[in-house]
Amino acid sequence: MQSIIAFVSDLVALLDRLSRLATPPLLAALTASVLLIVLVRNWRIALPALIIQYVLVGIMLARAIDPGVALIKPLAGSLVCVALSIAAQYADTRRAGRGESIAIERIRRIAWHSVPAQVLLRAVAAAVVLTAAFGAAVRFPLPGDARELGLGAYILISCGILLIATTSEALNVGIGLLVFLSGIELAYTPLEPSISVSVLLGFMTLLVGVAIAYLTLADGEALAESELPDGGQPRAALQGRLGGRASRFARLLFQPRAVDRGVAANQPE
Amino acid sequence: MMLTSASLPASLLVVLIPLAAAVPAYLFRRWRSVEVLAALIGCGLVMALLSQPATVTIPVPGLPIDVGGRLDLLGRTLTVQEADRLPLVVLFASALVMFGLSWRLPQGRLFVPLGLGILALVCAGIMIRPFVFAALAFEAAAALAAVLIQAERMGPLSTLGAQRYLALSSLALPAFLGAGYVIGQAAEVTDPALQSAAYQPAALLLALGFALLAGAVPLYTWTHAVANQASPLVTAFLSTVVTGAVTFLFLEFKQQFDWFRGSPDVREAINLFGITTLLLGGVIAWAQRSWGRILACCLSVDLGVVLLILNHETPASVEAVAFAIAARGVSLGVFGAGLSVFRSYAGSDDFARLRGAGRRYPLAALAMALGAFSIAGLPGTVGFVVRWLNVRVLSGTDLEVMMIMLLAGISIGWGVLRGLFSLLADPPEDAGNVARPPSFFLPRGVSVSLLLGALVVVLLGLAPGLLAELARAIASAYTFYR
Repeated sequence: MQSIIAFVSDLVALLDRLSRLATPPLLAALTASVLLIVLVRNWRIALPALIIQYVLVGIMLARAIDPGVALIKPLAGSLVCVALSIAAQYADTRRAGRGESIAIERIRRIAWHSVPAQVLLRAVAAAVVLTAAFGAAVRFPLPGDARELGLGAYILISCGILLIATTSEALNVGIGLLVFLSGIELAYTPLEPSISVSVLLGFMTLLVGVAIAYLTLADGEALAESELPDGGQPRAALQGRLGGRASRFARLLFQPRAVDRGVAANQPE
Repeated sequence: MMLTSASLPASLLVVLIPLAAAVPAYLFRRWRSVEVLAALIGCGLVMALLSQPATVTIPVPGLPIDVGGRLDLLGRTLTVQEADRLPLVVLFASALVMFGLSWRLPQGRLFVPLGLGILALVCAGIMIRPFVFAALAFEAAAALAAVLIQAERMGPLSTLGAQRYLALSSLALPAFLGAGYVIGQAAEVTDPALQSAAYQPAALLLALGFALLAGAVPLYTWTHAVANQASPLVTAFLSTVVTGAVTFLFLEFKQQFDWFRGSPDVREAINLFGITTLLLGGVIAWAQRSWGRILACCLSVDLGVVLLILNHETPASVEAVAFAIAARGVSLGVFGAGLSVFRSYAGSDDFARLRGAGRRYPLAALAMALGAFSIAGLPGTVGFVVRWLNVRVLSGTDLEVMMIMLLAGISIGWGVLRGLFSLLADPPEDAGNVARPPSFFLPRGVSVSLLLGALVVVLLGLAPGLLAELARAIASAYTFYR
């Protein structure tokens, strides 16, 4: 127990020391991390970048609030990233079993013929969004004492929205959502630097992270409904839609009375 | 945590009882009867507690319960105010209906435990002050709702509804947080002339936040994705309990903040959001080809109308809103129950796939049609009373809006009729015997649930006294229109 307390105290002291760094390098690192996430939509790169981003946000928050409270952000964020990586790994294992493309393969065997076009498109979108964020930070500076955090907040919020708007996979949308929430926290915490706000925002990050992990697992499973042809078997469709215990309901619907009566009501003619 | 007196504040119990009921509901989820019973007892207890006025102290031996007692938690206050008491009863009653229907119509393994968690969070959102924390409670509820929407469905693109719900609820968060800060700053402005201008950004941010939470902006929000993908009772639960809580919070803001109530910008924004949401639902409802989409259009129309009515400041408007939320729970619950049966039956809710299915499951067809017709405002159903109350509010000032509302109802009715014709048509020849008579194929519990639900829709339509009394009592607790 004492070693844990000592470890946390060391982390707080480290965060306090790091928070005295100059703002431009912090902002540059924050922008680089978010750009990496936006441009390379591969969880094996995006999740480590997200952890770095959480640490940077924690350092920036420590400039406005107590470092002990600011530590909640990187801790909660790291936990969420670990949960997401487990979910993403599980989903990839399932995809690999079906012979579909997975994250590690896309890193090992980069499809050079398609990558430039994809990255270029995302880069243009990111450039537009970053310009807008910079413009907003200049024209509508966020209130409060820690104004230097405003640009960071605008960058995170705008890139988070960009990610949410331009992806369809649960994991990428979720990462966008987490980036967006980090931006909100960076903007709001200096305005109300209370422990309860930080604790609740940290708790919310965890809760949203768990929900995203659940959706990531669902996203990685085999096609259930969409694989069904129009004339698919009703019972299979039911299992895809409700599954598990709900399929018992299907059995209730389709079988018992017909069996009781000895009527082959469910047999095809 | 700090209790302000020796008695136990009811606000704590309103949050804790559903959470406590969620534990056995989760642990015993294999035994559906136990799971649902835990939820029904939890909801019933809270409703019984809140049936007492906020000034009353219930003499429980050892620890009396103060209905209007204050709970201070980390500098925030949790209280059941008199104006919040009956709205909370409506939310718990709506949840009770959904949980009861899910007894024989399973909506996913986590429907009951997560539903109870969401219920506790949104109720905390209504009771907590300052309201900034309400936004956090609603965001936490949205995270749970995302899991609820997804249920056990798997596969790429199956997560769209959950994603949209979570993303849009998160987008509302900065609006509330920003408004909280602006209000704090504006309170320091002493000049009355400058003060209204200082509050203006907060009013606009709140209007945007409420519209996002209610699913009104941007157009084509979570409503369609969720109605298509989530289990039907989950959709009904979210649109009644969560959206109902958002609506009551809006009324609470009108009660609390003069600048919010008097802001013409808020009025215009809410009017715009309401009319576009209503129009969207009304224009496309008649042309839909699946019951899930009909459900989404019903939601759009109902949410749009409620937003428009919220702009009025009369006792009749508050009464109409309160009645609409209670009636929505019944109508959508029954609609969802019928739809659950057909989705289970055919794995689809497309009109084409369900051709002839209504002959085999007449009770399910009846429940689904009555629920949808009720939202459309068919005379003889509870929805008709809602439309009647709406017309009473709108006829004095907004004749155009009233006409659009009525036309939207006709559009929904047209869509439902198309679906019904398909349900009751001859089954296609290649359907084998899947969709052919004889009927009475449903388990008895399911049949009873459907029949009871359909009866309640009609009975409340023919004798709306009970709900009307409740709505009148809710309206009388607000004073902003006086």
